[in-house]
Amino acid sequence: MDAKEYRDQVAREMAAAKATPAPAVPRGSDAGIDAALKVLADGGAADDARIAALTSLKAAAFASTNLAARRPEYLAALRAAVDSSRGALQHRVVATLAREKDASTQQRLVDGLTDPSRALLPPEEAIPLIGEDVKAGVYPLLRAIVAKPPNDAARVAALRVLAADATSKDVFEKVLRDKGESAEARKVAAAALQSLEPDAFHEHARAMVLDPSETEDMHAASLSALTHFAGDAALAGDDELQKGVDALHARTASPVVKRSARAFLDRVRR
Amino acid sequence: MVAQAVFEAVAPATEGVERVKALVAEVRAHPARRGELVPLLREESAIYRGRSTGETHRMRGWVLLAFADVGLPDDALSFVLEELESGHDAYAVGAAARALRGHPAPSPAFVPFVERALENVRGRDDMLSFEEYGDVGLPGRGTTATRELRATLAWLEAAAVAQATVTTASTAMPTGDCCAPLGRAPARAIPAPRVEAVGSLVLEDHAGRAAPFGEVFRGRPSIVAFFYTRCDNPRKCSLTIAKLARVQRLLAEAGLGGRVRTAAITYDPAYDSPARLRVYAEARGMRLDDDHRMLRAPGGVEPLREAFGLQVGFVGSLVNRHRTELFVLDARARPVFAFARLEWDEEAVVARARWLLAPPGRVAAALRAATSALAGVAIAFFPKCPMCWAAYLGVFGAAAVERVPYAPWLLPVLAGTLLVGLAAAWRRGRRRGSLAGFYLTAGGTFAILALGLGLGVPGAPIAGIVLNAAGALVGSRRSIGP
Repeated sequence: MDAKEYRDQVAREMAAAKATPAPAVPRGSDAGIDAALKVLADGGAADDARIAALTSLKAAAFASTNLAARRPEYLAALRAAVDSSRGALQHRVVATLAREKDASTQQRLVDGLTDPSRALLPPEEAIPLIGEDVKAGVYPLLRAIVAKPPNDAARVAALRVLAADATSKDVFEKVLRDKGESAEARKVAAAALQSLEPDAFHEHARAMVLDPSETEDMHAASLSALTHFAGDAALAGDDELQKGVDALHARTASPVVKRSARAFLDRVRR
Repeated sequence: MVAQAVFEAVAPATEGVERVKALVAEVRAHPARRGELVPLLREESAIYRGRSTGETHRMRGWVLLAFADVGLPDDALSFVLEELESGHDAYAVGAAARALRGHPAPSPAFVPFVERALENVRGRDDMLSFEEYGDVGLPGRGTTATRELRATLAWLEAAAVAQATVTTASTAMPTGDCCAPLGRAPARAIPAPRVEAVGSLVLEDHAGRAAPFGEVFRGRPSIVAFFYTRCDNPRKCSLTIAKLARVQRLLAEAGLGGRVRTAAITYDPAYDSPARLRVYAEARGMRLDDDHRMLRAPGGVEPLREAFGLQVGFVGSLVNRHRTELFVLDARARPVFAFARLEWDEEAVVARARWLLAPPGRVAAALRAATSALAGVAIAFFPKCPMCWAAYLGVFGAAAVERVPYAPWLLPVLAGTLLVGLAAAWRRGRRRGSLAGFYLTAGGTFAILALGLGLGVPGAPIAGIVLNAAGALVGSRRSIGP
C-alpha cells in the first residue's frame, strides 16, 4: 500500500466513524467497553459498526485504564471476530491480534502461507503481521519465501521483516548486488544491511555510487546513506569517492541525485 | 507459493512438545516422579532450542501446571517465584500462580511475588485454558492470569489464618537459594569457576574496541551482567542495565569507581552492534569508559554460556528466554558470586565486590569460620565420662590410669559449653538463612546430654560427637564473605 492509498483508506475510515451514531455510553467506561465488545464480536452486526467498535476499543487502550483489566475479554472478542468478518474488518482484527502477539493468530497466518486455501489474508499482507513477533521463529520460513516467493510484493514484505534478522546479511548483500532485482527490493536490502552491518553496507554504497551503470534510485539512496551514516574515518581521504560524486553531480539529470551528491560533498568538504 | 516441503524443513518439530506432554502425563500419574520435570524448567534445556518465545512460555507453563496437582518441590520453587516476579506472559504467569498452590508450606513471603505478578500482567492478561495443551480460553470457560493470582492470594490468606496459631516454622520461607525476599536474590558462591576457556575469547565494546576476555577483566574485581537489547521484558534486561547504572553510582559514592569494573555482555552479539550497545546503555544512565563497558562476543555467545553456565535459550540467533543473571568476578577474571534468576539488589552486589577488594576482611572471616568449626569439634571431643578421661589419658600415654580423678564438676561445664555452642549455631544459621548446622548441633547435644549422660543409651555419646562435629562444619561452611 502506498502513501496515497493509505491516506484514502484513513479518510474512508474517518468518514465511516463520523457517520456512526455516537454511543449512548461514554467510550472507555466499563459500560462503553461492554457495548463495544458486544458489537465487535457480533457476526450479524454491520461491518462499519464493528470497525467503529474496534476503533473505540483501541482508543480506550490509550484513553482509559479500564481496558487493561478487560484485556482477556477484548482478545476473546477479537478472536471471535476473525472468523465472522471479511475484508477490511478482518484485516484490522487480524492485525490487532498479531500486534498483541496472539499465538493462535500467528499460527493461522503462517499456515496460510503454506496453504492458501486456509489463508486469512494475502501473503503480502500476512507477512508484515507475522513480523510483528520477531521471536516467533519464522525467519527460516521468510528466507524460503524470498527464495521462492508467491509474488513480488510478498518477497519485498519478507525482506522487510528479515531486516531484523542478523543471520540474513548474505540474503541482503545478494539482493543489493543484483541489478536485476526490483528497485523496491534493493532499497529494502540497502536499509536492512545498513542496520545490520553498517561497515559492509558502506562498502556496497561506495561501489554503487562509483558505478555509472547503477540506477538513479540506488545512487540517491547510497549517497544519502554515506552522507548521514558513514563515519568520518571511512570518508576522510577517499579522493576517488569524492571525484566520483563530483562527476555524478555534474552529469546526472535527476534533481534527487544532484541534491544528494551536493549534501555529500558539503559534508566531506566541511 | 512456498512449497510444503520447504515449510516442513523449516518448521519447528513437534517432537519436543509431545515429549513434554508425555512426561507431564507420566508425572501426573506417578507424582513421586515430579523431580523429573524440574530440569525442563531450565532455559538451556534442549526442548526449547529453536522454539518461538510464545511456544517456550506454553511448554514451561504446561510443566508448571503439573506441580499444582503433584505438589511443588522446593527445587522448582525458584522457577515459580521467578515467573511471578518478572514474567509477563499471561499463560506462564497464570500457570506459575496455580503451581504455587501446590507448595506444601504456604508462606507469607510468597505474597509480594504474587502481588508483583498482578502488576506485571495488568494490560497483558488473556483468556486461558489449562485443560489441554495448546487450548485457547473462551469467555465463560477457562480462567485468566489475574484470576489465578487472586486465587493464590486467597490460598495464602487462608493458610496464614489457619497457621496463625501453629508454629512460625511452618510458615517460614523455605531455606536455600530459591527463596529470597522479592528483589533480593541471594548471592551464590561459585565453587569451581570455569572461565579459563574464555580467557582468550575476543570481546568488542560499545566503542568498537576489541580485546580478549582475560585482558578486559583481569587486575580488578568486576561486576558483569548479561542482557540483550531486543529483550521485550521490562523486568529483565532493561531493568538490569538501569540497575547496573545504579551499581556504578554506588561504587562511585563509595570511592570504588576506579577499583571495580562493571560490564554488561549481550546474549545477541550478531544484532547488538557497538552503536546499539552504546545507545542502550546511555539511555539507561550507564557510565561508559575503559572500566565500564557494554560488550559483545563477535564470535558468538556459546563459549560464555559454557563458562558461566548461562541459562539462555535461542530461536535462531535470537533469545527465546533467559533468566536474570549477574556475576561478580575476582581480579583473576573468575566468577566468584552469582546472582541469578530472581531480581538482585544493588547494595548486595556492591557488597560482594567490596568484599573481593578487602583481603584482610577475608582473612578475618576465614579465621572466624575456622574458629567456629574448631570450637564445635572441641565440644564434640570434650571428655564426657570417666571412661573418656581414661581413654584420653591412655592415648596420651599417661600412667596409672586408676589414679586419675574423675571430676564430676566438669559435667555442668560440658552442658554449658554444649548449650553455648547450640546458641551460636542458631545465631549463625539465622544470619545465613540456613539452619542445617543448628539442627545437626541440636541433635548432637540432645544425643550427648539426654540420651548419653541422662539415659545411658550406649553409642549415643559417639553419635552426638559426630553430629556436633558435622553441625560445626556445616554451620561454618559458606560463612565467608558479607
